[in-house]
Amino acid sequence: MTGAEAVMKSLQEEGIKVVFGYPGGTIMPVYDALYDYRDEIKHYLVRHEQGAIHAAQGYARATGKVGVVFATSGPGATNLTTGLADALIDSTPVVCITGQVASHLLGTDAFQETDVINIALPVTKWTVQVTQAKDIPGALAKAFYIAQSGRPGPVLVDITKDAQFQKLDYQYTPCTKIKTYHPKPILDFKAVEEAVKLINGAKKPYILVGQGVNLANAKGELLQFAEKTGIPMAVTLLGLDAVSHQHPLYVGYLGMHGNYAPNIKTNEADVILAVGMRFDDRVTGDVNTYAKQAKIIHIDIDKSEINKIIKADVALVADAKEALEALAERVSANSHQEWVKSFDALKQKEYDIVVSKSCLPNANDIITMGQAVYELSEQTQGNAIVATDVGQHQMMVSRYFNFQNPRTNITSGGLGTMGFGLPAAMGAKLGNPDEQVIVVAGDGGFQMNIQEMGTIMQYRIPVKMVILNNNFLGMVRQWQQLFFEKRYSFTEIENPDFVMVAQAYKIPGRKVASQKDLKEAIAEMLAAKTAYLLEIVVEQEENVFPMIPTGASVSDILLEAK
Amino acid sequence: MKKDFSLRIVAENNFSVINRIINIFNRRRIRIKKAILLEMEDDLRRGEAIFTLHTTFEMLLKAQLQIEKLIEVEYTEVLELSQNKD
Repeated sequence: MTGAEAVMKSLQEEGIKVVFGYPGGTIMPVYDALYDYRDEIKHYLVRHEQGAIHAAQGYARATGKVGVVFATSGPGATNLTTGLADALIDSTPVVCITGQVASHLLGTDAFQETDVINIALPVTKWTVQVTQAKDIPGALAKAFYIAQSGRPGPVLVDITKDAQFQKLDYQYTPCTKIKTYHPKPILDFKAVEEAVKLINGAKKPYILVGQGVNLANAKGELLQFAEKTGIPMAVTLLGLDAVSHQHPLYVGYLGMHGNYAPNIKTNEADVILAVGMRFDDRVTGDVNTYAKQAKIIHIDIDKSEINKIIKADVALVADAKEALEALAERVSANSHQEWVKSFDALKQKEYDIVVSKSCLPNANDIITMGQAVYELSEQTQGNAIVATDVGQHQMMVSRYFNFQNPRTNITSGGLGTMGFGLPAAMGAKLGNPDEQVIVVAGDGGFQMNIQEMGTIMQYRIPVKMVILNNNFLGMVRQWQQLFFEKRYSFTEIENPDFVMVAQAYKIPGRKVASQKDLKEAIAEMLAAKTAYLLEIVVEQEENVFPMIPTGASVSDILLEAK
Repeated sequence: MKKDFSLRIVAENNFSVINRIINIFNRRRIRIKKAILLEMEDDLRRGEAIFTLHTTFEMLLKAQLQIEKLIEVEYTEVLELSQNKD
């Protein structure tokens, strides 16, 4: 068979049923081979390669499987760069297969030739260029193994056109081991004992839950541990769906726009158990004033995250599931009712100053972002997959949407990529056809990959699209208001009629601007059997609070502007 | 306090891994005073790099961990501490 056919066969061996891509000159042999596999491997033609990779990310995040992308060489490959960087920093398993010019043209500045391997180096877990057909199965086997093992991440496989045409004797052996790669650390039971000692002796212990819990499928073990010890749990942005928000030990969301209580209490805890989270600067604020009083137990599968930002007193380099199971077996049963209760007063304060104003109807009939998200959460009961774009709306979703289940919060965390939401929602829906999938985006971010409505139209993907439209690049405007004396430098944005644009893509839609129409409009959208766009006109200069200003301590979180 | 350190890396012999290693030093603003790169004579698929770096010990350890994380890297070792300092 040819190298291109070997690509198809290899994907089948890996159980791949969905691919997002865009054809072009140097990947045409692969697309020609795909033609014979189009029933077994469903290919979704996107409208921009960035849409493909974000869709693959959304698919991967919502299913736990590897997202796969096809792109051609040159601009097709370079269009993947943002998505690769996003997948790397958010630990999302994606395999990108790019075409490349024929091997004798490499380095000659041939048509649509770029050195994609070197462009992708800093934004991938691994890259490989294949110039001979016989190397294709091995390279793909390795790519899939690397992408989904250890700390997951993106991999790029660049296949020259001649390799795609060449014939080979196909044989596929899944990769289960690489000599130089050790994705599964061995749990250090001595460190476990040290951690147990600290936890058993703690008066104000605290669990910080990150995406690592989801990646390890460790929700059960986390709850077992937390319920046995009575320790309250707070979550990071990517850990929002790791714990049900109704759980009695769930105390809120950490970080720059997180909940008041969990941020304040970080600097009161005496033992902090950080699970699958990396102490990102959005969570820590000023590291010089972050949890200085606490003993830190850090569980992470990636050794390089330990002591990178915050010094750990006990390091558990391990899979979160394994580590939590071992801890739960060994810790003493306990309860910290007073400590857990101590979060309530701060929660009430936040409710009185922020939440009630954000989420409840107001006298002037203008919809706020908080109201829209709160209503969405109420009507879905938190049982929906929600993808967001990046900005104020993202923070509102993270604050007010009551996520219930793992892999339902699809958002760009580390890179903060505007334009992520719509294609990611597309990918999530294709991975979960029976689930309600909603994208919440701002008017700015929605337009960055608006062309993917074409993909939604073509494949009749019933994604629900909510645009919170304030005619501003809201988050930047907020910072200009608070820190740049309200000098709104190029943050006011004139928008098209989104409903009309959707209709041009044969997608029904509606626009609402009044609080009295909000409930019914959301209900109509959720009931639609097809894709649906709901534009919600929101208060123009609404700000997201609470907020930890840049460089400030988590203890200095502001409930309102000074 | 910044000092000179030698970091030895044994890895697969390819350009990508060399570039990744250099990128790690670059991102962390670690000064490379000397770089010796060689193929292993007994196994051309493996290579060795010895870098003389000028940085703090803390930063060296962080970079070392990130380099060890690279798929193609077999192992690393800090070879020696010199007396050269800022």
